[in-house]
Amino acid sequence: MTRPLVVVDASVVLKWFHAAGEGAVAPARAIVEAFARRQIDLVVLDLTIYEIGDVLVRSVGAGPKAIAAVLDALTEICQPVTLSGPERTTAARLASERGLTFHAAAYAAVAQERGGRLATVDRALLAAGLGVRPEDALA
Amino acid sequence: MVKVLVSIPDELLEAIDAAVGRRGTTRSAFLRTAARDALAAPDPVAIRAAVGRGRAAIAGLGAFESGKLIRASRDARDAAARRR
Repeated sequence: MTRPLVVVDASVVLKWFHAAGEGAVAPARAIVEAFARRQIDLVVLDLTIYEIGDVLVRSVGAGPKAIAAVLDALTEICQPVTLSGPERTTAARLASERGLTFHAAAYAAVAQERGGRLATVDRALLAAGLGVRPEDALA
Repeated sequence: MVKVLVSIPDELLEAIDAAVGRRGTTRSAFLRTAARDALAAPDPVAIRAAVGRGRAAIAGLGAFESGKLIRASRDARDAAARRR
């Protein structure tokens, strides 16, 4: 049986662990629960580790142990994957055509190449029409 | 490779044998594949426990919106790359 595939970017993954001040917490968490229930296939990219690590270190001042615990939890939930050759090519094209960073385009490229949806709250990816909000990812 | 003796209900074995026939494989190969698939599948208990550990680890952090911080981080990376 083929399940729908959802790619999540760092903006959604962080909501799995943090709620204060966040929007779309319930739909973001519904994605990981749907994965646990085997209702969807889930893809997390390895660059999510670095993006979340950056934000936790530089923007909110989390401590090393807390950051490591979050990233350990992430890798236990879903083993992060790296981009394939064709996905790198698509990411480069999307970044160039849509004026996105390669990081942001990488998520969209993986979703496109693997026939899935990208769940994100990143306004640039949403504005480019390359992702859907978490509440629409399971629709 | 070792041989194991397992107990399987009659109706399940009939379904297995039907699938084996359709796929032109063997019981052993079919059951090996099924076991590998099961081992590779997400474990709901482990996933929920991991989510809980992640939440506990940053429970003391204040309010912020992840989407805005991730976007700011991407913008900063982009700006730094353009300056080079």
